[in-house]
Formats: sequence, structure tokens, C-alpha cells
Amino acid sequence: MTVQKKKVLLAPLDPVHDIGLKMIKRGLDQAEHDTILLPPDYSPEEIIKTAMDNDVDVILISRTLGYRVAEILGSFIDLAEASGIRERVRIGIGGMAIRPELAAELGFDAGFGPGTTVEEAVAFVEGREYVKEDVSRSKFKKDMTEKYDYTFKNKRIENLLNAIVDGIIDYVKNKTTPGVERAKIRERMLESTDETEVLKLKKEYARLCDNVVKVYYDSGALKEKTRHLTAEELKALETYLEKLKLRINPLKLQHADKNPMVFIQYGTGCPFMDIAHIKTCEAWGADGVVHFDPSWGARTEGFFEGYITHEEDGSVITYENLRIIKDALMPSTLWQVRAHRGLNTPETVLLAGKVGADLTKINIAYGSLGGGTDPERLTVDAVAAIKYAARFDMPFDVVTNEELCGVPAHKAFAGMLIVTMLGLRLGAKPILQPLFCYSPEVMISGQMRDNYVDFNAAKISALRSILNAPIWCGAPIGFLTQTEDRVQSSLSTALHASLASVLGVDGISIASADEAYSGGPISVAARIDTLRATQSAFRFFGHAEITPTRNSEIWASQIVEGIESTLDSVAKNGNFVDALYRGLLGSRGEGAYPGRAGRGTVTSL
Amino acid sequence: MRIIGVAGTAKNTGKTTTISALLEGFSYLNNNVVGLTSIGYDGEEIDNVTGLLKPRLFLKRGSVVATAAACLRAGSAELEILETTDIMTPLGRISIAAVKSDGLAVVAGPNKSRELRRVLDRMTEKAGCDIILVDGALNRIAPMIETEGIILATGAARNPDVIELAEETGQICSIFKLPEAGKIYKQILGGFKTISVVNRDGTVEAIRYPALIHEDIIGALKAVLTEKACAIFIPAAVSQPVLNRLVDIFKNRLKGLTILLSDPIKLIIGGYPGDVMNTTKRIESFGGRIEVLKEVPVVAVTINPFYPRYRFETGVYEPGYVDEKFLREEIKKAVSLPVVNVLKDGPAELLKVLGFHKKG
Repeated sequence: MTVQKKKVLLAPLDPVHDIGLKMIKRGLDQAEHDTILLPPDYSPEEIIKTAMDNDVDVILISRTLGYRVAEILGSFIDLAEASGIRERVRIGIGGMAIRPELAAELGFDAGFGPGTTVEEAVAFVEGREYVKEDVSRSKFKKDMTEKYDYTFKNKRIENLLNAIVDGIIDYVKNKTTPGVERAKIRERMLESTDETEVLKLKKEYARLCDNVVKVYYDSGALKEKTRHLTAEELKALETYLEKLKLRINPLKLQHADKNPMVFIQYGTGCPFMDIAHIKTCEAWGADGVVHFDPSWGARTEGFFEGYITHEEDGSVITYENLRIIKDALMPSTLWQVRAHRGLNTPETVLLAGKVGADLTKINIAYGSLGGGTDPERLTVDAVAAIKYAARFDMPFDVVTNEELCGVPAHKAFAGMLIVTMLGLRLGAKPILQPLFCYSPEVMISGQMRDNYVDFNAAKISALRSILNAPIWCGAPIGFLTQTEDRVQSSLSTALHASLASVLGVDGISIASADEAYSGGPISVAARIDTLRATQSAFRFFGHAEITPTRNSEIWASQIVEGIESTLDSVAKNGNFVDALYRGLLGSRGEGAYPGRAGRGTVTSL
Repeated sequence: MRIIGVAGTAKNTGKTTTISALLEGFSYLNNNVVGLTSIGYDGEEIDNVTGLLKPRLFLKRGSVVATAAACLRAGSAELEILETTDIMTPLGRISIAAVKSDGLAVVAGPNKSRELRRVLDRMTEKAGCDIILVDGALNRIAPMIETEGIILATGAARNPDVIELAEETGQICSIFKLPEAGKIYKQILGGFKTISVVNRDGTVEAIRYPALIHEDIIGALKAVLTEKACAIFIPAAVSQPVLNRLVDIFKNRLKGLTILLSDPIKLIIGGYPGDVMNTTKRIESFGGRIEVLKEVPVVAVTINPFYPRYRFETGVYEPGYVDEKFLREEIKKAVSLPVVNVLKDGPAELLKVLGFHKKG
């Protein structure tokens, strides 16, 4: 279809600003329309007279908005209308403060605010409907694991891992735990349509729970500070989501193809509030969200049921809670439900799989050395959990947060690689999750005295030299480099994100700008801070590189050597669980303490 | 009076409050379908410019609203679309919708006279509206030509100096009361859409411009204005400084000459009301007259003591107020129309002025 050539008058109804109009003029000239650009500071009468004299089809006005300017623009439109030109001339307004609502109030035919493209203005001139790129449609779920074949480049490490994992698989044979058994019962409950059977199963389930959960199944009473969402609250959530669906037009964070997927973590305690945080982050471009459960949940045998909110950090895991959160997500949003620590690991992965999560998180070493769960218990539970992850085709990351306790990176990585190999052997798809932060190890040893680049780059380089697997930096990146200053925190997050991107990792988890120092709930505005900062940093670096110093290579080699010697000691020890107790993957001196929750609960079948 | 416009002299002068009061008042009248539209955007929670809280628009079940696509679900009132027009706004196409359950509404209607006319016709014919309220926007007034009468909302937001505000309000009302031209001119000038000179022999000479908004246009007019002229017809906007210049140039030829305007709004939008009044007085002092082909009656003035006080040091607005009693007294002195503070007086006085009386 040929577009009819239009005559366009571009007029800055402004003492100074006309940059936007100049850009639009260039676009219109390229599209072969006739343009007349007036200099700034013409009066409304002069602009309208020029429009009359030149028989223009469209007038584009630009104006910064300030005190009484709305009235000036209203008068301009009135004058245009009363002068009789609005019958045939369409008038648009542009400026940094212009929104469609304001353009409507001012009486213009279109409003071009921040983020307006030249194409949008050209479409208006040509009378075409401008269809904004709907990122939610063009965005799709990415499988972080798809381009990796998990080939080991370091055969010595591969052999050591195989030996250790043989031992683990052998160790857990014929062993079970209340956590493993509850997951089996939960699955039967979810699949049963027979109410009598479900009631019977619930009783069976309750027998395997701690007292606080038993009480719930007996009497319906929840633990303190915990309650069910009301019917009104659930209805309000439905209305909120319906309204939001009409308004949400998500941003895209990535500028270059190599930019990693960006995850945020939520766990406000209330599923409704979680959803509000998730929707905000989706709108500002987050690719994935991570469900944080409460720490007491990890220490308690058994799950409650229903839509539950509570007044502490972390959101309670129930089938229903996960369901409403899942239903609120944009189709393209990756969703991870963490199961890496605690006494409900198998059931968490089962529920995540049943509800339709994309990812989960399992790590025996961290969960038992930094997460407080007994090593033997978590080993048995994790094997069952990894089997669920494999069954539901749900990749899981192996986080190395024990580094934050003080465990050196090479030991944490050794633990991560053991669970990675265990995952591979059980048919699952593990993702390496090295910390990308200012850890106690480097604080003491000084690897980050000069910069945050070298040691983080060394970690990635070390892992790459061992095996071909996806890497998702966590969690969150830049941890312990952020302060109570939101600008500083956002900048630090964005710089870490850029480094991760330059190193070619697949995903990153970012914190809000107030996460480290919030002293309570994280604010939505602070979430937007770091998402926008990350977007801006991706735009800044594009495909440009960051060059680490020579130290990075040296430290990468040292990390690999450290991993090898750690694995060697674990293999020689002959029993992985015993190695955890003995501190071979992180000692008490290094800040790692074998957890006690669930101790003595492993039984032989 | 069935199509009533509420025009403001500035933002925050009380248009929405006046509309709300009328909606409430009409809700007590039985068997009347009330329609609402806006020439701008109204009903939002927070002001688009000042960031201050705004009064909301509450619609009763059974009323009708004409609003843009993006606003259909922005309020709590349940709306059922009766008709979607092809009239575009920055917020999408205008639809005419029936209110199915009471609730708040956000209204963004047609912003041009011709489109407002079409919407008003459809609201009457298709939706069966007996009364239609047309909500103004900012200080905009041009599309109000399509209404049958105007309620003028003014207040401290226009000027917190009450004396100056009262004087200006009086001047605006005086311009609205410019005398109506005789039938003969209406017959002669029916088809003319540009500035024209009517000669005593009934002939008409037109120039290409519809509006008198630039001095160059006086030059074009000069070429067709002869001794035979008895009237100059300006169908579109009239800029006061240019009209003043025209008086300077033609002062010796104004005796017996009538300057005809389509309606008073074309002059009101052309300058400060005080300056406009001075110019009309100058025309009369030289023996000329200024008349309109169509009257637009102002039926009442509503007043609002509130104004958004701008804090230059912080760059934000905060609520400010002038003395309400003083404001009311001064405006009453300046206009010969009912003066109502709807927040204090309620809608009864306005309904009476408009010819509606509470039944039962």
C-alpha cells in the first residue's frame, strides 16, 4: 500500500527545546513527507497561521511541561479548534512529561511521551495505527540447559566425581526419610479423586509431620503469625490481575543476544504481595522469578495446605500458594521454586513439578553445611528430590551459598560439582550456580582488594575449564558489595550483571536496591532500581569486553587445583555423608557447620 | 436545557465537582437517562499535572457514558458498550456505554467540536439520553459550542487574587452576552467559512483565512473592505491583539460597521478577557458594533476556593485556599448570574437554574 505524502508542521511551542522534533523531522523526511520545522518560541497564532498558509495535514508540537504550561497547551488547542483547522489537521504533542492521559486532557489527537520512537510519530502522521512491540508476545521461555552437553573437559575431576556419586547412590539405597515418604503421600493425595482416601492419606501424612503441622491437620489451626487468605482477598487478587493484564507492557532488559536472563527473588510472606512484586518485575523486564520459602518452613517437617500468608520473610509453600503464583505469571516468565535446604526438599520439588515450575534448586553441600539440615538426611532427601526434578524435566541449580558462611570457593565448587554429577547420573539437568559476590574468603585473602572483576571471572573460567554446563550466577550477584545507598546498590548490581554478561553466563539473580539493608520488606521501587540499572548497563556495554588482569588466570588455576584436591580427599574418605560431617567440603574453622535438623530421621527400608 | 457543558477558567477550578454535584442531583430525578462525556480526561484519582488528589466521577446504574477504550475498565462502574464509534483519541476509540452497576468512571471523550456533536447525537438517539453533561478540560472551551448552555467553573486556581478573579469572571460573562445578530446576516452568511465582508448591496467578498489571528490577515482583508461594507464576518477565532490592530487601522470606517462573529467563544479564546472587553468598547466608541450569529448562554457560575499552590523551592504542588465567603461575595458582585459553591450548597440551585426540580 502506498502511503500518501503528508505535509507536516513541526513546532516547538517552547522557548528552547526542539531536539525531539528534529529527530522526528529526520524520520519524516526519510519517509518522504514534506516537513516544515519552525524555530522555537513562535506564538500559537504564528504556528496556526503557518499551518493555514501551508495547508498542512499534521502539526506536531513539542513542549516541556512546567508551571501553567497545561493551560498554555489547552489554549493552543482551543485556538486551533476555533480557527477551524482541526477539521482537517491532526495535532500531536510530544515532551518528556506527556502521557496519553494528559494528551487527551489537553485535547490533542496523540501524545508522545518518554520512550516514543520516531516510527510512532511517523505512523501518526501517516494515519496508521502504531502497534507497539508487545514484549510479552515476543518474549518466550528459554531453556538455560539446551546448548550444553555436560561434557567434562577435566577427566580427572570427572572420574573423581563418578567415584563419589557411585558412593552416594549406593549409600541411599534402601534408605528413606519422613520427607521422602511425605512426598510420596502428597503425590497420592494430589492424584486421588476419592475424598475418603484423601482424608486417610492426610492422617498418614500428618503422622510424619512435626507437631505444629500435625495440629493443623487435626484442628485446622495454623502456627502463630500465619493465616489463610480470605475470600475477599482472593477475589481482590483476581480483580488486580485482570486490571493489570490490560496495562502491562513489559520492558526487555537484554540489549545484546549474549546478555543473560535476569532473575529476581521474591518471598514477602504473602502470596498476594509476592504477585505484586512479580508483576512489577515482569513489567520492568525480569525474565524469571525465584520463590523463597520461610526459614522455619525448612526446619519443620511437613507442609500446611491452602492459601496461606504469614508475617515473616519467605512465602509458605503449599500447593495452593504455588498455584496462584504460577497462574499470575506471564507465559514467558521462568519460575523457580527453591528446594535446596530443609526437611521438605522432595515434597517441594514434587509440588513445583506438579504446579508447573520451570526450575528448582537443590544442593546437599550447602543445605547441610550452611542451611542447617543434617547431611545424611539431606543426602537421602536430595536424591529423591533430584529424581522428581528429572521426572518433571525441571532443571535445578546447585547454589554455592556456603561461600557466604566462609567456605572457600574451591570447596563450595567441589560440593556443587558432586551434586551436579549426581543430577546427571539421575537423569536431571543441573545448572552451576557460583556466587558472584564479595565473599568472606576474598575479604580475608584479598583477591578483591583491587577489583571485583578478577576473582569472579576466575570462578567462571575455572568452571568452564571443567565441564560444559550452564552457569547462572547468584544469588544475588554483587552480594556484600551493596550498601544502604540505593544508587550505589543499583550501580554495583548493574556492574556485576555486565561482568556476568561479558563472561557469557546464562543467567543471573539480582537483588533489589534495598535488599541488603531494607530492615523489613523490600520495596517495589527498589526492585525497579536494579532492573533499570541492569538494563542500562547491558545497553552500555553491548558486545564490548571487560579485560581481567593476569591475576584472574592464576586464581582460576588455583580454584581448579583446589577442587581437585577437595574431591580427591572426599573420594579417599569413601563416604560422602561422612565427608560432610568431617568438614572436607567446608570445615567448622571455615564457618561451615553440619546441620542438625532432621538428624536421626533416616531409616532403612 | 438538555446538553449542559461545564467549562473551567483553569485546571482545578471545580469542573469535576460541579459535574459530580449535577450527577448526584439528577439521580434524584425520576425517568431521566443522564449521559456524561468529556472534552478532555477526567475522573482519575491523581491529577495528571499537579499530582494532587482529585474528586472522582461516580455514575449511577442506568446512566450513559461516552469514553475512550482505555478508560472503559479504569473505574469501578460496570459498563456495557452500546456502540463503538470511529472517533479516535490518544486513549483509543470512543465508545458509548451503559452503566450496569454504580461506580466510579474515568471519562475521556471527543476533543473536537465536530466529534463532540456526533457523540452527543448518538448519545441521544442510540442511548436515549435525556440530559447530557459535557465535562470541560483545563481552560479549554472551544468544543463547548455544541452545548445548549454552559456552567462556568472558576476559582482560586485561575487566580488566587479574588478581586482580579471576580473582575475577570465578570468580563468573561459579558463577552458571553454579546448581542445576537439579526436574521438577515444569518441568512446571508450561512455558507461562508472564511472571513468575509458583507456589503450594503448584499454582496459578500471573502478572503482565504477563516480566523483573524495574525496581522497579515488584516492586509488581506483591506483588499476587499470598501466603502460599501456594512459588516465584517469572522467565522473562526479572533485574536484580541489582532482585533485591536484592526480597530487601529479601520477606526475611521467602523461607524455603522458590524463585526460579526460565529459565537462568543471565538473571541473568548483570543486573549485576556479584560483586553477583549477593552477592544469591544473601542469598537463601540468608534461607532461600530460587535455581534454573534449564535449565542452560548452561561447559566451559572460555580466557585472553588481551592488552588494548587506551587512550591518553587521543592517543585511540587500543595493544596491552598482563599476565603470562600469573600470569593462568593466578589463574584456575585461581578456577574448577574447565580453563583454556587457546589461543595457547600449542593446541586439544588444548579438544577433549578437548569429547569429541573426535585420530584416528590
